[in-house]
Amino acid sequence: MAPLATLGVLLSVAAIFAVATSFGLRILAWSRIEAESPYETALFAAGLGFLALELVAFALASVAFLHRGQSLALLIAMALVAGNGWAMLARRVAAIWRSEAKPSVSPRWKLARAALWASGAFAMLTAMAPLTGSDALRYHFTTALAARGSRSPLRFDILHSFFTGEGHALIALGLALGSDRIALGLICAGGLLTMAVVFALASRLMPAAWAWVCAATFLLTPMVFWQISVSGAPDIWMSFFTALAVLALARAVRDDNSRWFVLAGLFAGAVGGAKYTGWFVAAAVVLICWVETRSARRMFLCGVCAFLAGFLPLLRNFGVGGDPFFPFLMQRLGRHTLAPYTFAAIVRDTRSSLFRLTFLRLLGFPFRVTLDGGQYGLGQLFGPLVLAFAPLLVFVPWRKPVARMAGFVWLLFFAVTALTTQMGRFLLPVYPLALALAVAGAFEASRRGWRVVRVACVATLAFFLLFSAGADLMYARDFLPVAVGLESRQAFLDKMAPDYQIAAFINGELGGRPGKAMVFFQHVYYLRVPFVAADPTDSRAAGELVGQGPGKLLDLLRRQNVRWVVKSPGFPPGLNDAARKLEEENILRPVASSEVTDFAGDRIYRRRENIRVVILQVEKNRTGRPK
Amino acid sequence: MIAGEKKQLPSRLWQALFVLWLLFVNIVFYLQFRALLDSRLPHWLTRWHL
Repeated sequence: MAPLATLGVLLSVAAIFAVATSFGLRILAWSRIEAESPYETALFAAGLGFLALELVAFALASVAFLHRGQSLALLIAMALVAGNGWAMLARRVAAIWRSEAKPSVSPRWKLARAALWASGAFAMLTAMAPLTGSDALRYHFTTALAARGSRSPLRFDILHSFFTGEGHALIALGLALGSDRIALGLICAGGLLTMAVVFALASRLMPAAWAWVCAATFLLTPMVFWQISVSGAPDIWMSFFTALAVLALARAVRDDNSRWFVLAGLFAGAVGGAKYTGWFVAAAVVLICWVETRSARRMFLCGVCAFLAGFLPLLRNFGVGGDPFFPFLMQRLGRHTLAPYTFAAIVRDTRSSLFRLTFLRLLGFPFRVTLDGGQYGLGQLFGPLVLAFAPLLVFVPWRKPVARMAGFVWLLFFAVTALTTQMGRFLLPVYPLALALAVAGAFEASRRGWRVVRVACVATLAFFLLFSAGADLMYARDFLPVAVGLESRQAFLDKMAPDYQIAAFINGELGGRPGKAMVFFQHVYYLRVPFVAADPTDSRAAGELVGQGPGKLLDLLRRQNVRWVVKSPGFPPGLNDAARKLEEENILRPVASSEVTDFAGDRIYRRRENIRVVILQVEKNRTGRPK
Repeated sequence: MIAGEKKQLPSRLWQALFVLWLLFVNIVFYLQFRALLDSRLPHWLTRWHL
């Protein structure tokens, strides 16, 4: 059954891709926008179609009105509006196929392309494993799931839910269509589209063979493979839209054509709408628009389109939380902000462990993010190529608009990341630009007849490709058996999903019983009972209880209709004293317990530890306040 | 001939420096994964790790 189910999910993802691309082709034709090749036109169309899909799905999900019926209706409406876009899609697919299958194309080249698409298929197959990504179980998927049966997907007991953006609308769409694996498939589709746009971008700067190497390197880079296969984070769509925005802007500047400025602005806005930090990409695109054209009108046009494409999450957050960039501007807007404990934890969570704004730290960031990535938000997973080839950037043909724009957007985003978060993995949106420029530098240097440099660059590239392919295979080994039906879903989740055994125990004990459960662990996606998350680092109410007495905690339990409190294995540091006091006074009374195992530290190291989970019942009949 | 050699010298020096830079980056980069490899590969393969 599992292979059939996987096939069904893959067909659903392919159908959504076809609908979005046909719709985009129709809009492009209506706007009289034609890219330089059928291949690039199809990429722009996919970008436009998925942006439209995201915007409508996001609007519906924001008011908790994205269910199966609405999702199907949305897709059918887009398919109908696409009209002759379907014929255009068929023609473009045929044109691309013909150019691939030409007898003049060498067998080696055909093999290389086949290997690239086989790698993509491998990533997609890996993505078909059940959801186990840590942040996905915390909020990427949990937020979309929690929206069902409530009026808003935002939860003040999971403050990270405010960080969800338009990319998360695709997750909500997949879940509404009935499967988190459709959502995972759409994330992976975003990765494959980004690989295709990396090829298009690189082709402007180097011959096809080098561009192929660039695209293959992008796909196999451990960070990219992890993000598009099992992480459950939609950030890869930011990379896709960033690269499209740069391509569109380069064309806009070359032709001085307003339509292309509009398109570039829309794609830049899509990056902003995905995540707060994406607005730095949008700002960079708008700024380079002015630098290149010296036209305030062009810049304004681009900026307005960017805002229109990305403002929905800001509006939602302002409406619900009183701050478009919740919670970072609360204090400046003069609003009641989060408890200091919670706010500090959230800021800490968005910064690398060694974040510091000293001159030396900033100077060292470009080196350390690659060479000491474990301390800088997993920067090492991008590989060494960008840093290694950095001295060759002087040879990049900067006279080409696409190179200048890619360089500017990359530089500005990198500088802002160094100044605000120093998190390596937040650089994902500009990784396609950085990689294309770095490889372009290597190509230009090797073209000068510098044999030693050429050999050294090719060896570095080849070694990294081999390393990445090996690392990806090794990483995927745990996920493939369940994807193809050789392992049961239950056994896989028991083994691979953080906090899953705790959630399963709670589901078994409390399923069907009245009242909510208060939980302190973060990976709550698999909880199937009504719950209140009370980790003080991510919950507004729990954060306000830090350092308070047991009376305040009891008030919260009663106010939120909490009947059960789950210790796994203890209470969080900020609430420990108050909760233990309630336990001592028998207001919290143990009713069930179990021994489970969970990860000790990062999952990738596979270390597990035993954990005692205890469910405590809140005594309803006790009146008065605890001593 | 001598003039030609003089012209080539900066280029050769540049290339040599670049290769040294590549070696440095690659070695430091791949050494980061020792702990991960230790946890993933069989013991007989990793007991002589750097």
